[in-house]
Amino acid sequence: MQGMDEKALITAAQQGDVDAFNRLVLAYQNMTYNLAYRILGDGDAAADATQDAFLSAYRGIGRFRGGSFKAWLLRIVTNACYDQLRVKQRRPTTSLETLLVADPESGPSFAEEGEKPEEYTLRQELSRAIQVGIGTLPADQRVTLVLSDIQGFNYQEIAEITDVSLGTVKSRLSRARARLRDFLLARGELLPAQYRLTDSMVEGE
Amino acid sequence: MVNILRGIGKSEHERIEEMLSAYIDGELSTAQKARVDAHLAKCEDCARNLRTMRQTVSLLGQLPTVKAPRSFAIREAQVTPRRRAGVRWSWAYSALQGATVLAFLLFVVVSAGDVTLTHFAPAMGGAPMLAYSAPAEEAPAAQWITPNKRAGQVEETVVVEEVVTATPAEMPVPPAPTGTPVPAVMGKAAPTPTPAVMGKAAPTPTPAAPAAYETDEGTQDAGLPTEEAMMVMVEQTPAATPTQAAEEATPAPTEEAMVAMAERSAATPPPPAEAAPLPTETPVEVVSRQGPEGGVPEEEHALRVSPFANPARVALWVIEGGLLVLAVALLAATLWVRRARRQL
Repeated sequence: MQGMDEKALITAAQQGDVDAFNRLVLAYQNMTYNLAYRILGDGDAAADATQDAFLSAYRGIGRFRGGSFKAWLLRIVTNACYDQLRVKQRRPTTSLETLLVADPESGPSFAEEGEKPEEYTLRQELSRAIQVGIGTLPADQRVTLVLSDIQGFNYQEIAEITDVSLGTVKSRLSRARARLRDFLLARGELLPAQYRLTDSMVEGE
Repeated sequence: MVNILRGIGKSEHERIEEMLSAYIDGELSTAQKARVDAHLAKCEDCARNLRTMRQTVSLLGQLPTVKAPRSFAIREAQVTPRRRAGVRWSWAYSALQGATVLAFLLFVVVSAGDVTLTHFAPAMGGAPMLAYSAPAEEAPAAQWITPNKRAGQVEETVVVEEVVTATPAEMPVPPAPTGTPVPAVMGKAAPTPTPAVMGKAAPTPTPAAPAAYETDEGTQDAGLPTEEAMMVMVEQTPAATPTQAAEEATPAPTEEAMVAMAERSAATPPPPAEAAPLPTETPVEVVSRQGPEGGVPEEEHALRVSPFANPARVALWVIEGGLLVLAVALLAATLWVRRARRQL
């Protein structure tokens, strides 16, 4: 959804047209949910954050003044994720081991079309292990890492979404990557064999 | 700028390590990139760190995209439920409010009737008073009602007016309430037929009672309307039972409640009215006792007979207790709904 189409829908939504807004929801809900899921590492929390985000987006769409709707929306989603993380922090923290056992990617399905079952299983294992690693990062680093390396946004876009300077994005991303790398090196057994990080000169791809 | 400052005091190795992430993304200037390349050529640690970081980023990129488990489309009801829900809540709130007031009023009526009967019985049968404990039991009741006061204020006042206007017709006009410090209540209390009540209400010299009475006019003292209501309830019953004993006994609990409240607010010594007169005493005695002494309660004079001896009384207590529990539960529900409504 790009250009005129999206613009017209936004204008209609700003005038209170729920159906028009819902067409925007349908266009962005997968990306939104995916972002929330990777940041939060939990299907229910991600659904809550997504729902909250779309509701606040609808209520606040009158304040949207052009620019990138996607960036505007993701900013709301990111804030909803911070809220969820705060809620989570109030609950007793779950240990790494519980996360590993209790987070079997319940709920969301992500089978790519034409993917073989064994490939699917492998990717699921990979996903789970990395999700545990992401869960060890501080919230700011987590959000930056997911936006960059999972969602594929560039530094400038991330700075816009998270409302910080380019330098901050750079340093957060650098620390997040180094930390996740150290986690995966230390807990290499979590990863399927062919995905393990290798120290050797020959890269294991 | 910040990065430059941060770099001070760090080794070249550390600075290069911090640039690896941006190096991967191609976000370094040409000069920076050349510097990193030069360092990587001679530093195996950094070369390894770069490799493993690249693998990490690559793994993240391979993560499957999670699909939304359901539609997150907004429903009309989600964005416009406020008004409708508000109406429903306010209806429930009004209903609960009414029910709470009703329960409390019923409790007060039954309690007042109970007290009246308790003191009325000896006058008829000649037996000593059954339970002096009645006032003590009433005191908390009066306090319980206070939180509800605001909600029930209007209704209670209405009752008061009705009763007050009703009573004078049936009752002999008492001596004029001259010298009374509280015009508001006295106006209402004036029609009370027996000197006993007058004697109690009129001469109260301590600030506690007038203060409480004045609140009846305007300020929202919690204690008062309750007291007033009870007094009136009590007055209502004597119309049928014109014994002085009944008249005398009933104000006592409410007065005591007032005293309790006065004490809690550290206001004043107990008003003389506190002395709950015994039904056997004459009004004259009451007045004289309350006058100069400042109202020292002489509860020791009371004949204490176990109230449990009378099954009817126990049954009445059960009813009163039930009513009180119901009223408090309704009050709690009302407050809960009020809070819930505010959160909408």
